[in-house]
Amino acid sequence: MDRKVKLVEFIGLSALSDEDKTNWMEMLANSPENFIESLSEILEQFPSELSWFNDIYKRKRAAFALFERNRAEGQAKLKEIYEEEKAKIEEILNR
Amino acid sequence: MKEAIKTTEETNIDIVDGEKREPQLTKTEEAEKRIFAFADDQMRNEANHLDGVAIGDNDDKRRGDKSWSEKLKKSATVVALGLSFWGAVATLPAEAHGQSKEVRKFNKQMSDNIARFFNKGKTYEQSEQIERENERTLGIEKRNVQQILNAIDKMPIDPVVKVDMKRPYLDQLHNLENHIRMYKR
Repeated sequence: MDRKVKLVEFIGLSALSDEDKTNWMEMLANSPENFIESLSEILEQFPSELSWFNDIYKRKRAAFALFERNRAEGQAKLKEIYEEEKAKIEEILNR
Repeated sequence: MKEAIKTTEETNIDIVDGEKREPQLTKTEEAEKRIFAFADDQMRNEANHLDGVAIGDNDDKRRGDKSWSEKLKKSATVVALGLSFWGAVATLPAEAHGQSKEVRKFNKQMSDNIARFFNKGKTYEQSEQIERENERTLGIEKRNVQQILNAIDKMPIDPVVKVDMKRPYLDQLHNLENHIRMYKR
C-alpha cells in the first residue's frame, strides 16, 4: 500500500483530536516525498510516538507565532524545544 | 507611473520605463519571505543540533545493523525539520495557504531545505540523483566482491584456508548489502 495512504489511515484511526488530524492531513497532502517516507519509517518503528510528534509540532507552531510577536522569547522557546527533541530522538533510537 | 511592465518568473525583475527594478512585494509575499528566511535559519540550527544525537554502542548487538539506526536517525531528523517548516508556515497569513501555486512553492522549499542539510547544498532532485548513482556504484562493487568469492571457491586449496580467505570479502559483501538496503528503503 502507498506510504501516504497508510499514514492517512494510521493518523485517521489514532486518538488525536479531529483538529490535530486535520492539520496532519494537510501536512501529508502538501509535504515532499522525503518527509512522507521519513515519517512513515519512524511511525512504523515507533507508532506510539505519534502523540509526541503531534505535541512537538503544536509547540513549534506556538513558538514560531511567539517569535512573530517577541523575537527573544520565541527564540528561547525554540531552543528549549530543540533540546527536548534531541533528547527524545536519542532515547527512542537507543530504546 | 508604470507604463509597460514585463515580469519574468525566472528573474522576478520588473522592467518599468525601460529600467530594471525590484518588484513590489505584497504583504503576503513579504510575510512568506520573512517566514521562509526564519524557518531556513531555524532548520539549520535544528539540523546541527540533531546531528549530535548519539546512537548507543549496544545498538549493533541488538539489531545487528548500525546503518539501520543511522537511517532512522536521518528519518527522525527529516520529520523534526519538516514539523518546524510547517510550524513556521502556519504563522503565514491565511491567504497564503490552500492555493495550489503556494502549496507547490512550500513543498519545493521544504524539499530543498531538507535535502540541503543532508547533502551539502544540493537540491532535492540533485541529492536524489546522487543517491541513485551511489546505489548503482554499490551494485557494481557487490558484483565484484561476489566474483572474488566465486574465484576463491574454485581454487584448489585447503577448505580451511578458503574460509580464511573469504572472510573479509564476506564482511564486505554484508556491508554492501546493508548499504544497498538502506538506499532502497
